[in-house]
Amino acid sequence: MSVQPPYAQPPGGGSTPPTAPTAAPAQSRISRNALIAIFAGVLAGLLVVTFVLVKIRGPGRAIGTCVGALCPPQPGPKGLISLVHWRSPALGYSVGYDSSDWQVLGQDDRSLRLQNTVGDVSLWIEGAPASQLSPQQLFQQRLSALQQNISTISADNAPEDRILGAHIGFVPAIAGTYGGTEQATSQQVWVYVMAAADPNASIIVSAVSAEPDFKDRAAFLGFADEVLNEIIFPSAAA
Amino acid sequence: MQGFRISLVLGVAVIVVLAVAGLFPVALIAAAILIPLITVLYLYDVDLYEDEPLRVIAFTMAWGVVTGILVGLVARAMTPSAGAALGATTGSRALKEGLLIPIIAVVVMLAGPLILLPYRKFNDVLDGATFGAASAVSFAGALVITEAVGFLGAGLRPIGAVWPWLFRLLALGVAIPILYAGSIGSASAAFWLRYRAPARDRSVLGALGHPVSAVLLAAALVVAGSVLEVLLSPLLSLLCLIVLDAVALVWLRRVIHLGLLEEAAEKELGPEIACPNCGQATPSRGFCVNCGVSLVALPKARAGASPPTAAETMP
Repeated sequence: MSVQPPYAQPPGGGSTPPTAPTAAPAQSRISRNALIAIFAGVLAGLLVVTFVLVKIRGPGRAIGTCVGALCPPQPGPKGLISLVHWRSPALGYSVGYDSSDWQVLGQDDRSLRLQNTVGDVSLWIEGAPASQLSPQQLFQQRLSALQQNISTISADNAPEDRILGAHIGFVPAIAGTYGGTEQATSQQVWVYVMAAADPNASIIVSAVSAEPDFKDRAAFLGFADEVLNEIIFPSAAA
Repeated sequence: MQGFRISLVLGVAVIVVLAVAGLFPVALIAAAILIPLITVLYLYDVDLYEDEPLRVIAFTMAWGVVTGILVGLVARAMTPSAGAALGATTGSRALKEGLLIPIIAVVVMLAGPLILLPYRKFNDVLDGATFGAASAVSFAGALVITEAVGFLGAGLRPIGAVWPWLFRLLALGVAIPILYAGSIGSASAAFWLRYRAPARDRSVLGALGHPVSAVLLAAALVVAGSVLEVLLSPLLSLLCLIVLDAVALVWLRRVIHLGLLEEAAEKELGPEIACPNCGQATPSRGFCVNCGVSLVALPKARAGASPPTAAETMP
């Protein structure tokens, strides 16, 4: 093994103490460039695989004509059914729903939360005195509340997700569609928000679905549309 | 070490670019594998367990991966639907995501390394720190991927605001794995310090060197990071996680320093060599007398390419 002389030869003789040896740095098992190349290669390979898998697993293209307040294809008539009617003790508005399709997640004197038992969609219906909160104010409040759990929430401008002719209980409503990732479940969710008011109460409704395929999501939202049509404002109930 | 720094910067840059491009699912996977990948390369490069590297590294990393997947599945099972999760109060979320799951995580991340505690072969504080850190980073990556399986079906560019996503990805990909590695590595090392290290060293780290208090502190750091994630916005929680990372890394640094001193004490004073870090002559034991770098912590010399000893190189 040839070894470089580590000590510089002192000028003019050998009596001077030896200086430090010439550095012969220890080599890693992997050189720096090889390390970076391996890292970049493995990372790139895994990301390409992920790209392909996500592309394959991604939702199909949205097709079909939007019909109804939440823009889904409408389900066919269900025949005669008995609805359960929930009435807000504080505000007097009521909500009718088919208890075979919906279960109650929670309620208080102003709000009702429903979870669909057939598909992945939930409803959050909440009211406030019209004298205290306008539909616009309720809308902003709801977006802030949603942002607590969906920090990446952003407007969804996809044509297929747009809400056309928004109504709550046949009262014209303001509406918007949003998307983002729900933090607790790490699921992508679509949020459809509508707010309307009569002289007595402002009501806001948000429908949330994590179904990535538009056609399935639209079918599930059809259930939500049925509930929207069964919301009765206090002035109409009187 | 420069290669690892460059790799880390490169990985973070990839995450940022993917997030800005809106490719959130791909960016999420990049975030999940970044630190585990660097850890695997580091463990291979330093060749810490040269006599049986594959089994030890595979076990510690595989333990983290398997338990990360299991805990991720449990977490998913505890949240039936996104709609129901949206209805949860902040308190109930903090209880589940901030307390329950992180405590389970701490227990399982530590359990794997502790299986190796009875083996007398692994008798250094550094062993405990390495096992704990390796288990922790692979756990963190596997947990993120398992929880995000549903999200991967949302398409290449799901709807979402870029900035919150970016902060969240940096938290998931860098801040949380480092917090886990620092906390669990240090807590794991406390067991080795108590049951494997020389008796004279047991009190060197004070309360931090006692397994019970070390596990409690590790759990407190992990729980604090998780609770802050629930309560704060992505940017604020990332900033808080960075502060917690600093605490965990200082703790781990103290543990590693003690481990290196132990390793140095075990070795005979060897022949003089050229320090791989500064190039100056130093006895081949413990630390370089010139620059102070630990000769044990540096990558080992490749066979046949060892630095010349003073005896070899004397004229």
